[in-house]
Amino acid sequence: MRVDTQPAYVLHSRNYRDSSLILELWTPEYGRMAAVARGARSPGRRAAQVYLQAFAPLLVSWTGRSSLKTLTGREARGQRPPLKGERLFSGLYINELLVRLFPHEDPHPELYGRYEALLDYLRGSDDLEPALREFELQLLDEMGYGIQLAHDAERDELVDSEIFYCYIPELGMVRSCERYRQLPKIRGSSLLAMSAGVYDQETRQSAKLLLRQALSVQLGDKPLNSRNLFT
Amino acid sequence: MALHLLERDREGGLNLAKALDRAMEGVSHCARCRNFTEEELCGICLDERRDLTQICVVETPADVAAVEHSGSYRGQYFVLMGHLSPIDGIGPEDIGLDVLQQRVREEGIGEVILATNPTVEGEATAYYLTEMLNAEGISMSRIAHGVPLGGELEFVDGNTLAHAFSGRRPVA
Repeated sequence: MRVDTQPAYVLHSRNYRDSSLILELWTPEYGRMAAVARGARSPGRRAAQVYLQAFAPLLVSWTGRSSLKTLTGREARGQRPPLKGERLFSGLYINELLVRLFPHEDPHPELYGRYEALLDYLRGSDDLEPALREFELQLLDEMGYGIQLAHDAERDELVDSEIFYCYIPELGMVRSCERYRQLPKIRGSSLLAMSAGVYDQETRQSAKLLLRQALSVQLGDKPLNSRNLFT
Repeated sequence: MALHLLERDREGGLNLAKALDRAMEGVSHCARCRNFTEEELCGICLDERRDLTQICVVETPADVAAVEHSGSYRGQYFVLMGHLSPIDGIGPEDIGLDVLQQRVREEGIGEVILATNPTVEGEATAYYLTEMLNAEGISMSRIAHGVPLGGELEFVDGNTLAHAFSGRRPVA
């Protein structure tokens, strides 16, 4: 299979043999891809290595039939200032989520667009939390595990803003009760606010707990390493 | 190389094998700076003429060699043997940051110089260290990044040039 000039973001790059890199790429039409950039670390091309780091926007061409492709062409697609500090950690967190949750060659063009927008957001905006939560919601949606936030799954009605709810995987939001005392309790008003994309202080806290729970169901036993970066 | 040694230089091959054997058996990590050494502490940590109040944090033993070769630094080192990389499962304890924090607390360190690579993971490591050591009340610095000496601006990549501009210094 030969693919020409596909836009891509680098999710991760690791050294491979003496002078090559293995890149995890995120592309609109092919989803997550792994590819070898041969000779990317050879002495004459060190300057080009800067374009092959996490978050770098690229145009890539590749060939190969196995799950590890060979890059035949790569060029930078515009220049972006590097992510700094806490934002860098948030970016690493998002990249780890994508690597952990999506198999190779499973395309999600809409999520690709959201990823692109989120990176711009991480570079520019002051208020990160809503953008991160919206991305996580979209990500679950794309995996087929979207949460119907404003819907009481047991009673089949709109959630009541004064009542607390719990998230039950594969079911949805249900009224909190003794049986679910281990799970985070989310006030109905927060669920309504989240589904409207309005994040006040309480909603932020609730959204964080809810999405952490929902994502951990998908991540299984192995926790995310990038969470340890936030102190 | 294997064929050459077998055909023409068996003695050299045996010497090489012995040297490799000694290195594999004998070389471990320095208890203070984590650099490679055959002793409990490495030569740099034992050298009393060096500045004991400065620690330079680098990613690999090769980086120590490079800084030493430049002859511009006379303090101590701490070798991480890697960098933070969540996707590869490498966290703060895997690169000995708890050991570094303890050293800073116990040895009366005045300045920590962050000389991790200017890569995404190197920057993440530097930022994590900054946050971790912030409370210790020591001076912290990051090595400067920019245009290589003898280089021409025309051939420097945009990111590096942007970095060089944001880190410009007054001259008068």
